[in-house]
Amino acid sequence: MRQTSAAVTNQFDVIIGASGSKTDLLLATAFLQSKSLNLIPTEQMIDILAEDGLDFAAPIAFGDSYKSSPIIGTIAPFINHLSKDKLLEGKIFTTHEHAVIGANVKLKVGDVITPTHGEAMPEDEHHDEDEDEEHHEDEGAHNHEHVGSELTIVGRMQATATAWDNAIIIPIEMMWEIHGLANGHSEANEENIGLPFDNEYLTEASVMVLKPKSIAAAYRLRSEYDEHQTTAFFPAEIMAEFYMLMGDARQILTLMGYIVEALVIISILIGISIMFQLFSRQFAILRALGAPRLYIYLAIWGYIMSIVVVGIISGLLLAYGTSFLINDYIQSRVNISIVTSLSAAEIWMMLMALIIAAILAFFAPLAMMQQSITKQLARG
Amino acid sequence: MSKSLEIQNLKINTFGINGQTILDVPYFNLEGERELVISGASGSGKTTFLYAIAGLFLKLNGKVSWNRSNLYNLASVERDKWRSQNLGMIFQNFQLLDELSVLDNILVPTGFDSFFCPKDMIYKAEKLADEFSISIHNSTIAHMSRGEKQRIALARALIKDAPIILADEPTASLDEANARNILEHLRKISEEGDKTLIIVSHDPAVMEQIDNKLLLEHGKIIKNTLPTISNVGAA
Ligand SMILES: Nc1ncnc2c1ncn2[C@@H]1O[C@H](COP(=O)(O)OP(=O)(O)OP(=O)(O)O)[C@@H](O)[C@H]1O
Ligand SMILES: [Mg+2]
Repeated sequence: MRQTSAAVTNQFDVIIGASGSKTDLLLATAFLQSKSLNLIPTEQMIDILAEDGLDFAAPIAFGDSYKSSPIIGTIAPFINHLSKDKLLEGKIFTTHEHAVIGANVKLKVGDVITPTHGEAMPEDEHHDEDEDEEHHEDEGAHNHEHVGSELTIVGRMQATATAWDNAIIIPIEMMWEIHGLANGHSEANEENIGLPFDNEYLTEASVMVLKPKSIAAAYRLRSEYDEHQTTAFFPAEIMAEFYMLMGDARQILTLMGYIVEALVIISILIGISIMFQLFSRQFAILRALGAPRLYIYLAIWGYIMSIVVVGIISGLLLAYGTSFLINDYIQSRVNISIVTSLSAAEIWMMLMALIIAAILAFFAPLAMMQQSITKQLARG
Repeated sequence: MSKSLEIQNLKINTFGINGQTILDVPYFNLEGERELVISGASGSGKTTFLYAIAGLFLKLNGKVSWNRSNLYNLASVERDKWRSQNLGMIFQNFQLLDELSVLDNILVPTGFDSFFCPKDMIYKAEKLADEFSISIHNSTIAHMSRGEKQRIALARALIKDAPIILADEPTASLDEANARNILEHLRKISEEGDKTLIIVSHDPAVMEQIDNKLLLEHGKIIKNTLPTISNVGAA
């Protein structure tokens, strides 16, 4: 998380989106979770692209996927920036049919892929959309030629510690074309790639990442575009908030772990005391009949240990069930796992519960045997 | 095989601030007599007396000696062992284990000695059940009548052929025929095996058949037909 937060703050200098949630925008940019973002109006996009004091202003378009990799459309300078100005292998895209892959994508430079439409996430929705499209094709809707669009992988980026490592990045022109939209260039320059765009042929994007030349420019742009039509911010502002939220969630999970632990120990204690209530006469009968100590001891010990084992197992299931539910929920929203496996603390807690239970199981029979036989017999 | 019993300065008090003396036996001696019936009004201390001579109290004031050795001088582990080896006991409220089957209830005392219940013991349990008309199949202890429970308790007390039999109202829940049968059986077994048989009972039939009688009132012996006590009591 900290690693991610640093990566995010360093690599996405100023983020601009349509007015709306900054967190959603950051999630879209860094984690490529583009849940129905609004589009930046073309007018504002043109203004931003015309700004001085910028190394680049990169529009980003989301939408398609290949296998589990999201396909993202943007411009070459941003890829170079993310990849620290040097690709891991290959080269940057130079035509519409080229693609660059993230460091962790399981493809090779030279591979040819045919992306499917829709986001990489939910499987069911995929099918529906695919069917729809096939249907369109049958009717001969030529605008939607993207089922047939083949992309050649020409390069691989260096690791960025963001979701971009799992992404396939294509020229934004291609992304727009795939969706039958104006590709940013006039018909005469149709095959052009990257900046500058022809303003009349520009399509709206959901996010723009800006790389200002100076801190002054960064602050100016941030304030200039943080108005009613657009939202602009430094990732660090949100990251701090975001990180705190995640920290809180993790703390809540830990706390819940402790609560479950306490509940397990309490229910074990209750189980033992119920056992005392229910069975003390039975044990007294056995003692009255002359049962050896070891016999009684093992009988009681067995009872307690079975309660303990049942208690701890159901406690574990309860604790992990709930924490995984919470984790799943968080993950479905931000694609970050905050519970990965059994932590040392949790194992220690379980051990503690077992140790406490074992001590109880050791002493409880002794305590029970100190009770008066005649008194217990009288309970019958 | 019968055992001598001697009680000296036995005093059992209830706990608490106003602890009362529920049993007070300065001296009692059973020497060579095999049978004894103890009677007395309800609350007179009969069950308490049986518990005391069975070594069931964790500790008490006075001495209870079987064959001249004080039971309460033994460590409680030893006393448990002594009970297991010497005592067949029938409790007033039977004290059966509802969780177990009829046969297993009868066999409980035999399970203390070995991990697996010996075959001949199972055979013996079945024989006892048969003798006392106990049906060992398809019945849950909890659903049984008091009479049935009483007979199971009796079978359990006899399974190990212990030299001392302590029976707290063994015929109280039985009809006349069953009561007679069981009393006869008890007396026969104790006679044949030269056992010591101590019965707590109000039953006139029991009182009639057993010569040696002890009468309790408010925790004290008020009548004793045994010859020895008068000597010592006078002393
Ligand atoms: N644990 C105890 N605490 C307080 N009082 C007790 C306790 N056990 C027995 N008693 C009292 O001691 C007295 C003798 O009880 P015991 O059970 O020996 O009478 P009993 O002669 O067997 O009566 P019954 O014929 O009703 O069975 C009774 O008054 C009883 O209430
Ligand atoms: Mg009684």
